[in-house]
Amino acid sequence: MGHLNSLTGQGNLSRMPYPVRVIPGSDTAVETLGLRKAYRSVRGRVVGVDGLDLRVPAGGVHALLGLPRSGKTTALRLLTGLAHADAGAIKIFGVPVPDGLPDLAGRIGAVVGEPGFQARLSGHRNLAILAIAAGVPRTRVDEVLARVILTDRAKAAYGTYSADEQRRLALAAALLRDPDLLVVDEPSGGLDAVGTREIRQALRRLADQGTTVLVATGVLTEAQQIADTVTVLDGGRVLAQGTVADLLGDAKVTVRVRLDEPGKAATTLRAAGFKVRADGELLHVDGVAEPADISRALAKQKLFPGELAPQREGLAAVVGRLRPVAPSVPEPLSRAEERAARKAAEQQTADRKKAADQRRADKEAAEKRAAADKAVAEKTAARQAISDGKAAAKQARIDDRAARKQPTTDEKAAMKPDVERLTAELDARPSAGPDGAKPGTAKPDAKPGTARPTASKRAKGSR
Amino acid sequence: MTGLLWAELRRFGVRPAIRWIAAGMVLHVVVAVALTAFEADVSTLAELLTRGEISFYAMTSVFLAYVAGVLLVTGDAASGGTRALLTVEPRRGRVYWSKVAAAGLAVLPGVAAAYALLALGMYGVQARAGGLGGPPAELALALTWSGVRVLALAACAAACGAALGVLVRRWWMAVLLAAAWVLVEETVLSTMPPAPAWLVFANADGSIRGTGTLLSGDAILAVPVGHSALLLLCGTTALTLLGWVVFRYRDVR
Repeated sequence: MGHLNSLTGQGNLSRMPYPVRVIPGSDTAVETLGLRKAYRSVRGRVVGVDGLDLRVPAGGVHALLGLPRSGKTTALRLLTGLAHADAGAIKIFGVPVPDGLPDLAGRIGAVVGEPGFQARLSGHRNLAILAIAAGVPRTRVDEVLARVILTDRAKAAYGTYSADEQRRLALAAALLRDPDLLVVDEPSGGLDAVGTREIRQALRRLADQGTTVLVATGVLTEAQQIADTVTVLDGGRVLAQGTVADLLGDAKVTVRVRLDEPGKAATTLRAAGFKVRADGELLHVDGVAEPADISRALAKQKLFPGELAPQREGLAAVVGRLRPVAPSVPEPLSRAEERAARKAAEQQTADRKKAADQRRADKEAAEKRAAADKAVAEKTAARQAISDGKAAAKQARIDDRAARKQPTTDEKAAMKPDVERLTAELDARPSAGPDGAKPGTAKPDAKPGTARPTASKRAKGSR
Repeated sequence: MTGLLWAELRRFGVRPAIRWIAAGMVLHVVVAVALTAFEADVSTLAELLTRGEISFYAMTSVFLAYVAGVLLVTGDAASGGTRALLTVEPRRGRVYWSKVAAAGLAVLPGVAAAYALLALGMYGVQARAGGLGGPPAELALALTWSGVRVLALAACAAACGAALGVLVRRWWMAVLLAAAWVLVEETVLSTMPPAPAWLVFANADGSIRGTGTLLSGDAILAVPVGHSALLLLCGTTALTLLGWVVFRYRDVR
């Protein structure tokens, strides 16, 4: 075991107060293996980095790129010994950290957080104090001030410095011992455009002079501008490591789409294989190689965007693109949640059963109603049939009776001209009636039409 | 280590809060001397020394030294300074002990000035009134040795302040803890018969007075000066060691 430790330089690691894994010797500047760090907070434990496997090649600028709370600053704090890891191993220039940090004194310079300079003292005096603490000659102060182009402002009080001057002074403090590895957290954080450009140029210059520069940044363009290699972090883990050209250099864009039916459009685009993020009425489609494909996919569903604007791919899009698509695993439920879920399932079953019972009852009622309707209809039909039969029989009887009476009527009709003739003859014959009127002459007060009432009544009665 | 100590002393000296504390020490002494000068009760300087009035006034300076020690390691500027120091000097033990030592050393000039003003003022006031109460040479020697003990006590208090500041991280919490301890000791613990021999402030008072006895409530307790000094030194050592263990393994903000 001792032999193995001596081979791998793990003698110090065996004394570490937390479980470590062994990193074989390498020529990289920084290497971590399974690094894990969690913080206690009022809301419980917050994981800073979780199984971080990092490799920073010696020389050049390496960027730790990630969204806020992705573990960048935590990683830097662990590397510089400001925080202790819960598990895992770190090696810087082959020396295990944090136990070997004293051996690395002077080889690492860091700008992590505010440097705590005194506002009343000049930049030069602040650096001189640190130089005394670091044990470097005071002439070195002037050198590093010149290196970060701050000589003109060296005598001014630190409190009067602008944000980028403060940042450059912090950088100068980190350079006091001429480190081989420079660690900088958010180099352009809070700086204006000019300050940002200057600090990036300064870092690039240092890398060109042979210093390994490790920067943690949440600005994609910063990584693209100054870094040679990049590690993309997400949730405390490494999403991807490689050259900037490989990871960030492709021409994919994010397209902003605005239209009336964003929900339907999002569904359509997802079905067409696009990565869509909804933002109110806006949709952001990530990783698009050809924006016209979006128009085509939407047009197929008769959706026509009012705005379709291609944008540069942001960091969120890069992280989204690199993030592995894992099948969604349901999170284990708490006991209360389990109870609620069980209750909900029982309620659902009861509802389903109730609905089925209701459906069955409705069906039975409908059947009963249909049967009743059918019976009524049958009864009505039977009644109608009986009624029709009776009417038919009656009609038959009437017809029969009429048929029987028809010859008599015909006879009577045949006799009718004779009767009329005889009547006319009788009327033409003079005769005295009891009132002195001639027979067949109507009385003056007699109503018209009453001359032959008997004949007409007879005709009617014969029908 | 010397460089670290020097850097800490420089940082300590330029902090505005420390200057205010030094001004407070001097002002308190001036007020104390003025009150003594215009007091109707005529007590000799020897009686003031024996009764512990000189040590009472000196104890205020010791407490302010403790606050200065707390302020050396707490607050945003101190945290940033610690971070910056650890990036150039990753050996935490060196950084911690340099801070503790700087706290102990940094308060000495202020406390010495305040005590000198107090001793000279009292001596002058009493000499003018003709109430020294003893041979001037012996009184001057007693005052000088008392001043030395005040300085030692102030250094211990500042070191304890720095250690407690590392432990609790907030200056107001460390100050409140000390104030609460004074109240508890004066109102509760001092009433228990065997306790005063082991109490912090009783022993601090006794060590400044250097009479070998101390007045606690209605009783006069015999407490050897060596016992007081040893007790306070042990307390200081224990607290600073605890601070070192915590600083060694705790994350720096």
